[in-house]
Amino acid sequence: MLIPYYSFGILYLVILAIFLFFLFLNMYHLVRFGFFDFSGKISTFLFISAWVIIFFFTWLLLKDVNWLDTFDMFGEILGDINLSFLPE
Amino acid sequence: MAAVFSPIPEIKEHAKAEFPGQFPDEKVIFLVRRHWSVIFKFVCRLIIAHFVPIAVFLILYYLLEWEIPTEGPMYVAMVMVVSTYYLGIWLLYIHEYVDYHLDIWVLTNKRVVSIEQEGLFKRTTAELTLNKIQDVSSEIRGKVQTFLNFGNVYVKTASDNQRFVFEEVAKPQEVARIVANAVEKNAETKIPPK
Repeated sequence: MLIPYYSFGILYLVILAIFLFFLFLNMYHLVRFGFFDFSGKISTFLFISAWVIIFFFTWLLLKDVNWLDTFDMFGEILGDINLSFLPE
Repeated sequence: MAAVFSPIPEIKEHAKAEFPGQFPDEKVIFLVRRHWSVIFKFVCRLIIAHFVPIAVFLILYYLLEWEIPTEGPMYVAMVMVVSTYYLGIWLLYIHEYVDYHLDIWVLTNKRVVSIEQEGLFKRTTAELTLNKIQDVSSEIRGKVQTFLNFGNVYVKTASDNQRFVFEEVAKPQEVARIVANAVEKNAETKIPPK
């Protein structure tokens, strides 16, 4: 079964959209209830910095991937798994 | 009674000394959150969580002799799973921080207000006027609380069904004393002069 690489990207974006929804709710609470003070700003800054770093490294590691390529699900992924450590 | 309004070093007053729902003529005596050790626990958990993927890779590589791919679909999937994991632990941290940051207990010259955030969709606000307060007590339980001087403060009314708990606040004895002083001062102002 041939699957394009961009299917991984779509799955990643779906999970990211869910994360962003929860992030929005958290930020909304922080700002809406009037406690976006110094400590709140520092924590938000740390959090955003961490996410930026994670995105940067993700991009760095995946920038050379040709997303239009396809791979054989059963041949390239499942076929490569080494199960020799399992008892016979 | 000046002590009532004196700041306590470890009881952090809100920068603006204001809180949502405050009356215009109301003066904030203190605003407390849970002790810093609560957020410290989250930070420790976050730091440990950063090492989990590294530990998993080391186990796979050394114990199971798995060759970590550097290209191909397995590599792409692996990078995305690890990336999602790190985004997730940071999201969990900010969620726990918001939960911690929005749980506050406020003592004003008129009332005690408890604002508690439970998860993302539940927020409870309760208040108790000072003239209804009958008893104030504090409790420090366990080695950690004794060592770091934090614990619960119980504010009770005459009727048994109403009880406020300031959970895991710093210097609970001092907080209880300040609440009791505020109640006393409030009662004095209500007694008409003879």
